[in-house]
Amino acid sequence: MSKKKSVVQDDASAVPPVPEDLIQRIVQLYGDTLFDLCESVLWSTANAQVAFRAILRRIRKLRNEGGYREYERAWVLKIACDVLVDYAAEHGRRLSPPEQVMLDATLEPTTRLKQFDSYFHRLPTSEQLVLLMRDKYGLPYAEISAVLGLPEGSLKLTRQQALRTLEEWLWVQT
Amino acid sequence: MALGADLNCFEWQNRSSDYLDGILIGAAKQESDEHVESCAECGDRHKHYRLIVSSINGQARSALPVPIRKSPFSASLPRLDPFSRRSRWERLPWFLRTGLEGAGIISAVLLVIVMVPRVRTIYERSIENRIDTLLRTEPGPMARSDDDAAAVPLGRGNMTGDSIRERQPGHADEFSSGESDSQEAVIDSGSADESESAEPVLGTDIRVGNAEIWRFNLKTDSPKEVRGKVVQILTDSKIPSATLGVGGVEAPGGIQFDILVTKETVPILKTRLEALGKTLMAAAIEAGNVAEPQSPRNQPFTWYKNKSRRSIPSGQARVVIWLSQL
Repeated sequence: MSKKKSVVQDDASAVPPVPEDLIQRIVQLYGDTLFDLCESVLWSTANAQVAFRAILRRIRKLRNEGGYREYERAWVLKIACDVLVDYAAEHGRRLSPPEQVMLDATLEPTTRLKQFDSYFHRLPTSEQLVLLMRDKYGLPYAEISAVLGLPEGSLKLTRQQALRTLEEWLWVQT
Repeated sequence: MALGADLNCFEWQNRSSDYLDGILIGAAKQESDEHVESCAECGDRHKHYRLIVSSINGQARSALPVPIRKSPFSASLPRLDPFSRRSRWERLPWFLRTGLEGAGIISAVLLVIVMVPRVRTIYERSIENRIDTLLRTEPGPMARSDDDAAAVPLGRGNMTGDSIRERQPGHADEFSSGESDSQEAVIDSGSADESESAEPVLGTDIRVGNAEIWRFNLKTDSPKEVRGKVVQILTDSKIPSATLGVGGVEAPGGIQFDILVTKETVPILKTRLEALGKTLMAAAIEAGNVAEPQSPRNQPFTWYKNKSRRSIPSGQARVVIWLSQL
């Protein structure tokens, strides 16, 4: 009997039930992705926590607008991206002049690749978001397009532009 | 639109995103594959893109902290990262910031331009005060005997005008300090070979006073040794031993004597110093230390007579003897 009970408990912890409350459900389903997105863009755990809460507040505020039921993830990510763009403009970490000089002075592409994060965060926030959603989380273009409110063609162009910029910083720049 | 057989770099670049995702199919994929194989630049670029994409994909993923997951709105949050905290100044519009910064820089430059001469004046005054203090604290020449000329203390620094000024309280600011007295107007100068009797012809626009300043320059290879002889000459010329400056002052490049003497003493001094200069030069040439002077400028003894607007007590003249190091 007791053995059976423990098995049931293990199953319950592996697949937690989706709560009815919107915020709790979003935290459970997309919490990790949202937090990782915040941290990747803001480049700071502390700021990511603050931004994550700001996203949840915005979601709570907009929950009655409707229309999110069908494309909940896209809706959540759209709010998250809006908050992050504003938050990054206000609190995003900027490279200090010595860091910029150090990056420009690095000659070896292998050394530059080790500092990939620094080069990545030189990109505009919108380009960072496209690359993260497409290449880190593997979201389809259609969903990213809905999140960022851009046509797919523009999205591909933005991604290509970001890749080209990074390539120039990492390999071409001397 | 189907891709042509001759896909160029620009066209490949336009489709590089799809090519990277592997969503190109059929002829488009084949053309792109061929282009990447044939074009080294695009091939390298494609490799680089793949590396960048794999770097982004390989970034570690952070999990939501447990306290926030449990209570998203009530969990305590850390303070904002100081790296990203912007000051009120940084949040100002750029045109306002640039304007204020520019005005600040210009003000700073103007302040420096205005303040440097003043600071320099203050510094020079403090140096003069220190020299005065030093000269006052050093033992005077009162205790020496006339025979012991070399025992007259040698001062340091520049004691020219200030020392004399102290002795002449009624004639404050009579002298400037140093050789480069801008108030003096040179009206007569010459070397030992020239006639001293030539009267100066003054321009109508030059105003000079009657105060005489005689400058005797002696070139020697050892000013410290010659100093004793000069002190002896001064003593022999009946210059009171209490006269300030009779011991000389050590200055960069030599030793300087700056003294007030009676006008009758000046010709005697001139003759004796000229003889001393010749003796010294002859000795130096004999020792092989210096070559025979060729031009009048290189003469061992030269003299100049200046007049200054600044007054000197009547019947007296200022004599500056400069022993310069050869």
